[in-house]
Amino acid sequence: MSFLLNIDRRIIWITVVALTVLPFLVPIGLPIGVEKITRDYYNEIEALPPGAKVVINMDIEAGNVAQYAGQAIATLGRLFEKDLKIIQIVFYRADCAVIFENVVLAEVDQGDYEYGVDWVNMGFLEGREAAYLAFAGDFMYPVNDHYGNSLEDLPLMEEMKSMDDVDLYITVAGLSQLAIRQFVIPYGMPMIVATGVQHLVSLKPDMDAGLIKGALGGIPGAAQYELLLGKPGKTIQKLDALSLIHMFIIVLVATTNIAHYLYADKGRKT
Amino acid sequence: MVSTDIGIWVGALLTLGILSYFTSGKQNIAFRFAQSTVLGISIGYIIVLVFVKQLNSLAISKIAAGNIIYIIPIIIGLLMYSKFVPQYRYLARIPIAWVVALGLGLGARGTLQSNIMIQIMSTAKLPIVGVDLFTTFSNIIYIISLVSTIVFFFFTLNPKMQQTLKPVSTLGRYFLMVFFGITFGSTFMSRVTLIVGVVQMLIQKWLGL
Repeated sequence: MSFLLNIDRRIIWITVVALTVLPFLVPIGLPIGVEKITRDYYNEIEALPPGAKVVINMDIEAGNVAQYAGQAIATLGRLFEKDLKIIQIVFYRADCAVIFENVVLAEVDQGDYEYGVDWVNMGFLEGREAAYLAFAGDFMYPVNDHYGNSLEDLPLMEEMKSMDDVDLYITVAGLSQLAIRQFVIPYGMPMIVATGVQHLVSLKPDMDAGLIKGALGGIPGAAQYELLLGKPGKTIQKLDALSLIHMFIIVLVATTNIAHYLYADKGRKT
Repeated sequence: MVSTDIGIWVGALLTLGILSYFTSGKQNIAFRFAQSTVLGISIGYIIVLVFVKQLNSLAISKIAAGNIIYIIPIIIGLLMYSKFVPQYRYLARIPIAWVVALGLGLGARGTLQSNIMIQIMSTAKLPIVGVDLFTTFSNIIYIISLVSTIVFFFFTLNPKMQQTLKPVSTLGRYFLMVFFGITFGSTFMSRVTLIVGVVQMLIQKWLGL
């Protein structure tokens, strides 16, 4: 067992890669439980009547695609299915607009949705918190949409003029604290978030306080949401890979600690 | 079937270039080439998009439509470049002061309510009785952790009081350690997600398996 104390790190990396590859080649289908926050997220969207107005913010960076793409695709797909009026906007960085276009929108079936009438892609709006403030009060503030069309020429903008006209705000990978300050508190806007698992802990007080109505956390959240929608997709395979890697790391931590206790400490005493 | 899309191939080869770091644990030419390419393209794209699209839609088109007032933020923004002229570099303080003041002002809006008032109110409303046993237990733990963690951050108590509250403060420290452990674990989970995404791209989109 003492060999564990001098294990070559490349063996760990190769094992991690092998465990990641396995579920994509041989589907495993480990059991998945649905958390309350995921169910709340699902219920908030399901409660919207046809024609309800939604603003969705997708701040997905290239490096975070693995974590957020599943959430984004499942959520946007559901919004298109439910016959809602949608505005999509990016607040974080210009390249997030490209990710939305090529990774999320390309994977979603838009059905008979008509651009400009049923949904609008605002693209990236520079200014961080100042942009949140300006946009909340006047949706025409960006002047043009992502494709260069004048917002004045898009019929949907007649129906959606400010946050006062919106029924639900959804942020995927966005800065939820800014949205709470500029949308939720001033406009009483219901907000749900799709975020990384590492952010769920810090969002918990906001969820308990009712500022965030529901949340998806990373790949597990996306997989649970796909299950609730009855459309298990690629995210389930990702979750299997994630679970296998976690099991491996737990075993590694436990065995190396035992080995350390048995051998390394003895060495130190002598 | 292996992809015939050149974009997928470029992405896959750059990804393998980055992953080649793991073969030796050191940077090599493939890693450095991929890293520089990704950074260069990202920064170049962002600069062009911000300058051309954002400046045009947020300022120039509005000035062209007769809103002359939008010339003020452009002038203030340009003052940032006065840093390059030594005798006028002090002018750069104006846009910096503007940005800092704006950030503070906007941050203050709603912060008192969202981070303090609503949090206190929701904690005060936590039900202890009339709910199921798990919720009661969970809420009691919540309140104990909240109070003890706040006590941990009392640094201005007199020594006698500090001694009296030491057990509570120690308990607060343990709760903080639990929080840090959970945060570390979930951060690890999110980092592992990245390798899952990369492998999925290579297997399904590139190799078509």
